[in-house]
Amino acid sequence: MRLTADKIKPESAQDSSSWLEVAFNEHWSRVFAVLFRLVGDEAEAEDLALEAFWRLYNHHPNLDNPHSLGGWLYRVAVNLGFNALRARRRRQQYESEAMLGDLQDKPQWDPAEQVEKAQEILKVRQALLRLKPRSAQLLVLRYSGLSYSELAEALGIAPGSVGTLLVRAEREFEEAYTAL
Amino acid sequence: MHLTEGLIRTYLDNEMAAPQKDQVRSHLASCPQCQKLAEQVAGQARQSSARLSMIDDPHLQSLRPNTAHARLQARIAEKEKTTMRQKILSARYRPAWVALGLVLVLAVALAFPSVQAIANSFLGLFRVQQFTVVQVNPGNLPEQLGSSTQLEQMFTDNVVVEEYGKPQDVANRDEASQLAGIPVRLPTRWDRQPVLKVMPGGEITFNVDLQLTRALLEEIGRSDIQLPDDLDGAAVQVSVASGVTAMYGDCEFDPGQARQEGYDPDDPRLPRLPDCTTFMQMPSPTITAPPGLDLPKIGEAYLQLMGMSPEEAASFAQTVDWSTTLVIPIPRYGTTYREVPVDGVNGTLIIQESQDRADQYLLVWVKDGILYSVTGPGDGTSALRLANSLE
Repeated sequence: MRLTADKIKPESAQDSSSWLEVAFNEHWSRVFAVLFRLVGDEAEAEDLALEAFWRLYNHHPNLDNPHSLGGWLYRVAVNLGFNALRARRRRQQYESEAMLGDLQDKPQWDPAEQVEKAQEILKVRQALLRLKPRSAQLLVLRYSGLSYSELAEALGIAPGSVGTLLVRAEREFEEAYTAL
Repeated sequence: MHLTEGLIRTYLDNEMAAPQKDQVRSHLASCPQCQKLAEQVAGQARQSSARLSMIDDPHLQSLRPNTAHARLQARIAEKEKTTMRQKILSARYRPAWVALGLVLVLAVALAFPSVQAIANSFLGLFRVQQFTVVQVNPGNLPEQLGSSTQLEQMFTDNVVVEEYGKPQDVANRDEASQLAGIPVRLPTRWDRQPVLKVMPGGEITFNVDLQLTRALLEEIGRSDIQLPDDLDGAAVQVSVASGVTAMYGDCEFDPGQARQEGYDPDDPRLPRLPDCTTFMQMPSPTITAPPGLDLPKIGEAYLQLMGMSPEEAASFAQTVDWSTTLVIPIPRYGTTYREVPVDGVNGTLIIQESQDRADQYLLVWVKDGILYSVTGPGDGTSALRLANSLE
């Protein structure tokens, strides 16, 4: 049973590169931006974004509907991003070290101000990790510029409930952030 | 009637259609209570926005799309080389639980050619005649193998997989029998018509690279497991003949519906098919390997890998006839099994218990050289009914 893949995945290499290219041109920048927000490192964000597109190519979700393709892609991307963040947390505060390393590379900036900023960024990511997964995904994707209908598609929720869930997610986020 | 936070938020985000938008606007203009709520909602959104914008980088420059696209193509080319492993391990490739059974057999046979592969010392041939279930604690072995670079290399360098075609839909039993080359049996006491597919056979060949296998064991932290030296260079060939799958009920996995139910594309677990029973039959796969290998020793290594203590593995390995027995490892917790009389022979019924979905069963037996399996939801009662009405 190959799901619906035979129906929707074009067989020839040329066809497959063209649908992938369309999807790529439409979503690359934003997928990359979503991941950068989460991991804060360009090389890692690029690697994860490429992984998301590879999965798109390999898993070929329902391509009949371009909206669901985008939704699938953002959902995979945001999952990859959070997984990477969690793995990093397990690697013991790698982030703070990486950021301090970053600061040393850029000595022209005001160190005190930069350390403070780095701490705040760390706090935002830590707070996101404490939320319910759907709330965290919703916030990151919304602040990456996804519309309500795109969010609904990506997270499998009713478009009419996006507003309510956003208010709830922000409340959760504020509580988690101030508790840190 | 006052406005809800969600409605207000939708309005503020300019995500509301015109008629409703006008209603909300005029209500807000005349309702101080809702105005106050709207200020709170807007205030909280501003606050969160300010915090979340910390993780933006205004100077961020994405790769130029052309460069990124080239890298994607390179990654695809690279990964396609290794899809062999995914093909074999991919649960989506075959009907749900049957896949799981095959995957277990193949993954184990492939990762550890040593296992049953190393057939009896005279013929050098393994053919399934019986099953033995062994309860194990595999721990995170599947994840470890899944992310192992050594295993990946082993597959890329040493393993050749050939599939004889693609799965084919067939209209009836005669067509299935003809295409698969076996007399296909179907249940008479079953109230639904099956969807029949003929699954192609295939062949997997490889030479055991002991050094690589040891490197793999080391990678997953099991360098304590000893493998006999005579295993090195052993040529192993696994032949799988065509089989026939009969699916009853709702067995098509619908990605759209799955998403509604919160299906996670990253979740490797099998999709929920609450109303799907799959009956599979195929000639026993055969594995050929050089004669003279120390089978119990290799079986012992395999059992240890699956989480048995060295003593337990050694004594169990001695009780198994490794040249005819397919050893099915099942997790010690959450899975039960028992011997059952089925189709005139002894079969094994394995039940996987689940907290958040229906239990799943796998019933397997061998008769006249044909391997049968039935999988589906429930406790297996219906499977026995199906199996006992075959003709």
